[in-house]
Amino acid sequence: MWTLIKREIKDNIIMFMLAVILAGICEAVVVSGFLRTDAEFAPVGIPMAVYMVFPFFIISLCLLATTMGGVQMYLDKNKKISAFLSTMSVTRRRLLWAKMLVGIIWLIVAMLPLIAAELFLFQVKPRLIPVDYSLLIRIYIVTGLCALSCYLLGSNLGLGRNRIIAILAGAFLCLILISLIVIKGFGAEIMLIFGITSVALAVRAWNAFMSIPL
Amino acid sequence: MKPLGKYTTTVVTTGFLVLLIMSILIFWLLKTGQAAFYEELVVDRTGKMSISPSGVLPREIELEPNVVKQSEIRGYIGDGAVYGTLGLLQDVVTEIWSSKLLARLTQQFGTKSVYSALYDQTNDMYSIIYFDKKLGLFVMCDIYYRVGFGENRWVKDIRLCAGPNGTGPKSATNLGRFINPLVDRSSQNQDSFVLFDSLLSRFFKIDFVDRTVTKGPQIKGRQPVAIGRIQKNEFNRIGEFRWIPPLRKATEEEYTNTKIRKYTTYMNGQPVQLVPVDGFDFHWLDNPSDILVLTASNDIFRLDKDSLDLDGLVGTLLDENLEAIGPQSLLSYSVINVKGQDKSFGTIVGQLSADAHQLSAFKFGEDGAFRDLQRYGILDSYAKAGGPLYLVIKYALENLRPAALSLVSYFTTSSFEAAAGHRALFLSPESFVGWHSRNTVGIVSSFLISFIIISPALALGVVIAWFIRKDAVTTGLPKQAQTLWIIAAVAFGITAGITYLLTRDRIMLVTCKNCGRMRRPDMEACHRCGTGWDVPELRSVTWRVSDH
Repeated sequence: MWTLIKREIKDNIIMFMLAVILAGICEAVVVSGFLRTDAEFAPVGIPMAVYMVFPFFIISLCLLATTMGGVQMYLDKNKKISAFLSTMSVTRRRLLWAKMLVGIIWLIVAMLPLIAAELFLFQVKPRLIPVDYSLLIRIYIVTGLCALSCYLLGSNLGLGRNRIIAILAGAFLCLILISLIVIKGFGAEIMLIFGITSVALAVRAWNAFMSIPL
Repeated sequence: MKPLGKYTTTVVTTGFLVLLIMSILIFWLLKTGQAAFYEELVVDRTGKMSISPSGVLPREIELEPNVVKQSEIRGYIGDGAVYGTLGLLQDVVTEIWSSKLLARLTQQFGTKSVYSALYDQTNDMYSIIYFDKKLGLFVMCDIYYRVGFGENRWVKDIRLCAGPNGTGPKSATNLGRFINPLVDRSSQNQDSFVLFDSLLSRFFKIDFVDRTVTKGPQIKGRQPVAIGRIQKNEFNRIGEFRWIPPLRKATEEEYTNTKIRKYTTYMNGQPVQLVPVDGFDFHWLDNPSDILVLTASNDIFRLDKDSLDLDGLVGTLLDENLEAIGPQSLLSYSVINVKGQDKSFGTIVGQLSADAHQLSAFKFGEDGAFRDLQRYGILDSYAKAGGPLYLVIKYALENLRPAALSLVSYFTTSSFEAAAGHRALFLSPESFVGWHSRNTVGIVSSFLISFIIISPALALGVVIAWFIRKDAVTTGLPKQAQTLWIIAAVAFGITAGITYLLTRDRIMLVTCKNCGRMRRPDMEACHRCGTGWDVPELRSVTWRVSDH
């Protein structure tokens, strides 16, 4: 399994680099905004910069997640990687698990630096009065679930036959999913919807991958 | 055939995804139509209610010789009726609104526990009062930047803490704990405020200047849900309600004094500055002198500031039939206690219905008894240019939704919070069925009418079911599966149709040697005539080639 995961990461190294770049840009914006606000005012709440980065972060992350899922499956299908590996002592189930685990690792790589930077900043620059972090936490949960849905959407589309249709449908459906955040906000309801959507897309991808002709 | 479990899971998951995407697309199409139609009503403010004289004050005040403009009740349907109900905006606006005291000073959010925040520019010091949930105490502190003594950093200096039993330093152990305080936020930046603790069941008044905590009597049988300024969604600009007192011309001295708030009107094309007649204020600008309390039973009481007990009923949230209505059933409301010349004249409750179609103003006498209802409905506005077209488009789009969900909406409309209904995806409280359910009383006839309303969706479902059946017979879908697809198509309409297309078997059919029709190559027997692959030589075929 570990070999498969390493292989997957190696195959999608460009996507991992893009994730790191995205995380780096957002981190730089948040850290500079955070420090600027703290230099000017008393540390009493969550600086505006922490929230302001989200429109860019959510849209970029979700589009990249869709691309990641699509590229993973498309390359596999086009280069017949799974077809080759299936001739060895590895099952399709393991192949798909490895892909999905790499997808989740990719999401963590894209999101964790930003979360870690904020946790670190709030740790070293403690707030002087009680702060309500609930909206921030809800935003991160919804962003993570939305990106997971988009990744699995890409996985489904990557198994399709036509590349152009897959790219156009991917971009369109990804934006449709992001628009759900505008409609529902960051409450429990949207978390449930994205959760069910992720499960539905994962089941579809599973069924499709298991029955794909070698 | 595919294994049943895999086929079923593929159909169910695809169905959910199609339903979700269809619902989002229909939501945005409906929102676009609503935005276009409401543009004139809310941006140009033609969707408004204006009642003058307001009917709350005695005639002698309204007819005073120096009164230029009589008192007026104003209500607008704000542009938030279209955009303010979107979840993202609600979350963002709520965060900004709840943190506004500190956010305007520090550009930082998440500070809804702050009840007072002042900045002393000379000493670069913040004076803040906040509620510390861990301690269960209200805390008054100074925050300043300490320079020197080997440390350059922001420090917090706690001056006083207040609990149910009194005030004291943070280390005091006998202050008690507030568990779930509901604080009057009607006046900002105050050292003294009133709160209600639902677990302790009594009102408290905390005064940080006098260092006192006054405890009111236990409130039995009434559960306050809001205190201070009783309003909902006004900050989202969904509905705006104002009471304007009788106005007179500003004197020369008042005209030049920028501190006096004035109202500009035009007379003979010339701007004229007006001010309230003596003894009155602009209510929405000046802090109301009475503290109002909304209870769970939808009654509005005045709070006696000295005894901290509910003083008297001043009004109630009512629906059009003058029956009590819960705050969750109204999209927006605002309660205005009309005070002037050191006495109360009564209460006005301005409210916007859940569907954002009707503005109402309920007037109550000073004893809280219902006096009058005036309303402004914008349903008539659908007769304006574009209105009928909008209604037709809305109805057509709504019928693309699954008939089954529309039917469920009929039963669940009343359980939706008014603003949540405007962002509902699968169920549709703001559809024609929802409106019908909300505005009718009879059960059987009302249910039948709702069936008529969703009949186009049902008809579409039947047509789609017919197409599915035709294709299912050709492709050899089992009888049981055909039946289930037909039921699903009638119930879910276009969603079921798209799901069927995405999940149907893409199998190359071959000609049956026996019946001549197309059959599946992956089945033992032809699904049309039941013959196997090997046709007995002596058995004649049932088809002939003829030349007509």
